[in-house]
Amino acid sequence: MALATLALAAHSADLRGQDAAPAVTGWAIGVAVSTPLLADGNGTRVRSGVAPMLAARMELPWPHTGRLRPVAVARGAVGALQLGDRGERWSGGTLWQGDLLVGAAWEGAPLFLIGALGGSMLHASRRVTPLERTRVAPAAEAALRVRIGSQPWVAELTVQGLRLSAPGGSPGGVARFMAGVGRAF
Amino acid sequence: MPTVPAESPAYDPTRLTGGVVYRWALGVAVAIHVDTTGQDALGVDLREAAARGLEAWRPTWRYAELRPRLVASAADADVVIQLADAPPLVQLAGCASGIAGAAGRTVLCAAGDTARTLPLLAPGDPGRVKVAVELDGHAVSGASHAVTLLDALVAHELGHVLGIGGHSPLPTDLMYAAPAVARPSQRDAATLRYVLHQPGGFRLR
Repeated sequence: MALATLALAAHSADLRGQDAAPAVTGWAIGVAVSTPLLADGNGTRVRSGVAPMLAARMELPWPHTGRLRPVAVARGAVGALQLGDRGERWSGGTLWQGDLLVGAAWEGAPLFLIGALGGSMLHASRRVTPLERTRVAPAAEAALRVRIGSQPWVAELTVQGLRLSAPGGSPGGVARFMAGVGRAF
Repeated sequence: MPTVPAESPAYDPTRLTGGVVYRWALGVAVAIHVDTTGQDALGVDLREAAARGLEAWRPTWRYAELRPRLVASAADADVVIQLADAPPLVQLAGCASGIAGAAGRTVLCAAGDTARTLPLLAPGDPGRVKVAVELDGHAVSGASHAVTLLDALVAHELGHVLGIGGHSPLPTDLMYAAPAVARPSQRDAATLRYVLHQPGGFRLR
């Protein structure tokens, strides 16, 4: 699955435990991989694959105490669905995914650990189970962000879990792993 | 990960093909040409009936396995549909009698693990037609509900085109030999979904 993840990023200009600071935007580019979205007993697997990723993240820091502060994350992604059955491969069309999560960030400069809960909306251009056309799934993620050098460059690693189900089937988890480098403004 | 259980066919989809499965390669676009010659005398619109039939079948597959579409020219088609009384568009010589029902016939021929091309009779490019459908217009002409009968007939033959090489024993199913309904039942849908993922047999394209 070719994923281009777009998220608006905002970081506090002062990352050392000051009171509420303005949001900061940033972007990152990297790769994303996902575990299969579905396995059908008749042989079909619905999956995404390794893909280039473009991300812009926005976090809205609120008044905080110490190194722990609440954050909100919004992210968008677009990519392709891949289908396979006993050696046959075919396209499932395009998948758009939008994430909205809230959580908390712990700052231990140059490291940032973020945990968040929320939902992900998945929209497919073709009717493909378990997405049909549009499906909203609960999501949870954890991210590690490291500032690189003295410039506002960051390296990011995010693990996201979704829970999907299909009509007549059994629900299950899908994991998405995103890694990239970017810059904060 | 999320799972969906395996599905069995509601009836034998190979009963009229001697136990041989046939289907389209997964994900290919299947081009269908509808020849409208002779439809005016019947007061029907074959192309519209085919469009309704495809829309009736479309919700039955789950993974974009099939992408059927109507095309204007037989030269661009994988499937041709026409009235039995109309001048034939393709050469059927050498093919078996096909999958025959009360008022229609679907013809396709295996050539090893693929389907044989049924050459166009018009001079020039022989085309790439793999399946030919003939409809008996007399079965619907004059009926007060000719459109409904035609819809049932066309949708039934489309079921054969898509991969169901057999008939259901239940009259509530579209694939009953003399269809009385114009939309596939859950049984028809399960049978087609089963066929689409069977190995072996031969591929139409």
